[in-house]
Amino acid sequence: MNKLIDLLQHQNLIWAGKATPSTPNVTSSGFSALDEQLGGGFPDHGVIEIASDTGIGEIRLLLPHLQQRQQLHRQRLLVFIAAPGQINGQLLSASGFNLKQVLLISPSSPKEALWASEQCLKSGACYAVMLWSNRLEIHQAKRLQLASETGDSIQFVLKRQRLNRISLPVPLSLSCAPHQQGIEVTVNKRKGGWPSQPFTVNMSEQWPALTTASLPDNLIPFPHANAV
Amino acid sequence: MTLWLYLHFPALQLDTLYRTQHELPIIIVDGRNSDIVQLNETAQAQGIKKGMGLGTAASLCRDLCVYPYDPEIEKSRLLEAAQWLYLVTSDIAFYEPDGLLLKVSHMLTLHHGLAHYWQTLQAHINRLQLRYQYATGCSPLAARLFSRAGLNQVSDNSDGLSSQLKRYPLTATDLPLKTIEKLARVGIHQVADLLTTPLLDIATRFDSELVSYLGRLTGDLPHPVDFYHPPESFKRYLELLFDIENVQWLQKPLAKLLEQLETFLKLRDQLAHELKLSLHQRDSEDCIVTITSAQGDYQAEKWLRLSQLTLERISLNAPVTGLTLETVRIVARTADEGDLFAGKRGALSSAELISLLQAKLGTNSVTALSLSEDYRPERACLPCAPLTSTTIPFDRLRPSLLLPHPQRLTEKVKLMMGPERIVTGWWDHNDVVRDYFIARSEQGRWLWVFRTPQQQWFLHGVFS
Repeated sequence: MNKLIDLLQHQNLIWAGKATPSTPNVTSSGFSALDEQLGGGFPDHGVIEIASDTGIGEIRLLLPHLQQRQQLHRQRLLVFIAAPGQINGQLLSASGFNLKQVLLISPSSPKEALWASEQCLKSGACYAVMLWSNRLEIHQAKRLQLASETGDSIQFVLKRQRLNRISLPVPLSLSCAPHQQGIEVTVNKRKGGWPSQPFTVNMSEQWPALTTASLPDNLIPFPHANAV
Repeated sequence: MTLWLYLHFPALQLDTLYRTQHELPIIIVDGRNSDIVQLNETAQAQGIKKGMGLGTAASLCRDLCVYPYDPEIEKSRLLEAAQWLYLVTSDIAFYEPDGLLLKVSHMLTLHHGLAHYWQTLQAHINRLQLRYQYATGCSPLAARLFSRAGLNQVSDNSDGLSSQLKRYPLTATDLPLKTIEKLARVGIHQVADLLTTPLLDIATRFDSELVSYLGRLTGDLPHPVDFYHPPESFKRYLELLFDIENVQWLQKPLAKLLEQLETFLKLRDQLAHELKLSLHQRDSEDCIVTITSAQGDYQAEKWLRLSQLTLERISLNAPVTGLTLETVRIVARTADEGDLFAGKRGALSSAELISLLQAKLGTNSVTALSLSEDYRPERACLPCAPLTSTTIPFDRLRPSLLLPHPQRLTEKVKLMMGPERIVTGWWDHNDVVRDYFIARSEQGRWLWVFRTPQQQWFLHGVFS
């Protein structure tokens, strides 16, 4: 009888209900609010889909995590593929990244971008691959997922918000929205967990210049005060 | 006594180009009289002999394949043979177009005698897949004479060798035809006749060249020889047997060249970083393809994979008739620095991955970042070759993504911090006078904008 249950469980034929399976290995994201929602942090390998506008802090959200991974993998690379601008080495250097471990790839077509991404992931020479791609098909996501498991690497796929229509077979999918104190994150989908309501990741400690302080309750902004 | 070994390749061009075509009778004719200089066994079986005219041969055999003699092919193949033999024997001299002279004496100590030396050498020569005749002699010319006559004997018995020398007719020597005729008129037909004649008499009746030849033949006069020194770089040409128009079909012949490269590099314990492949196109300019490997490779298999990716990007104007492969950068191999205890490692190293990506996407598409001491944001962070980044300490807040060129600011923003004034670059005519601000757009995006003295606003980066 036990054997049968094991077999069925192995084939993912049993719905486990509320019992959560053992959590996969995770590495802290560096933000406690996010860690809480993700069950400890980002998974150690797999594809993570992030839907976000450009410029609201989506890279800054990942930097502490990438920084930690770099500490663990001194010889491996961090790869940026098809970034929507020039990745600035000054920021990376100031955040503690070793520029010798950073590789930029500017492919001429989305197909090449995916090829490069897969090669990087499965080579085992990269600890993380950041890919900007607005259109990712299901089979492509599966290939990237397999490659990231082969090479023990993590893949972040950053895409624009509006195109997020189909659900991809990825272990984690987030969407980001701007917020005054940092960034507002929603977990759309998480392997071994539940989707979440939007929550705020406070960045005022890490990036004080890029947050606006929330006003105390008893203070009324100046022009309004005049009107009153 | 110095012992010499001469290798004569009677059918060098034939063996090089048409070795695999056994079924057809093939002959190679030399230009002026179209005399047959080389022929294969099938042609021999039809009754064709060396020295026959083309007409006679054609009447003997219906489906004869005739090729013109090309000394260049023999020359390059002879060089290859010398390179190959250099692995087991040190002193090699060329006797173009079809002979190699080896100095045996120096190698005997290493090989414990002539028999073992010859055994090693023979096994090595056989790998060349060329027909050859061989013989030893006490002088280079004697060895050459024996070998060309087809003696095929290895011996270090000097008495036996000199008595053997006497048995040959003068026509077997390298003497000019005119001299041989002159000697025949005075009744000298054999080498023995010539050797028994007092040297003084010969000197008075004939020219000095005959005297010096005789002296060299017997080993009495010194015979200086220019020995071969192997080149430091690799360059091989491969003639394709038929034109190739499809780039993918180049893989097989290229693999052949890469295998030779592997042997070359392996023996020297070296790695190649960059190869230059020239595709010789019919009636068109050569197409030069550069294949690079960031970590350096010697294995043919890895180079083949990289060249496959590189070749995918080129298009041919005309059919390819030949390939030349040469090395551009070679370095000595250093031990793999990988740590055995560093934990799980992938299939490729970083440098290998970079070579792979560069081969497919082009060298300029795969870069790294390098910081330079310039306050202009455009120049502070420049792309550089992967794994060669330089860093300088920097602690100001900079956006994570920069636009390639500043764009006019078109949206409504709220300035959150600034200004940071950057006025520099007046010395190289790229002067920059800007006040930078951190701004937040109404959509909540964090922007890096600047104002020029003309009060124009530009967007230069985003704090992603």
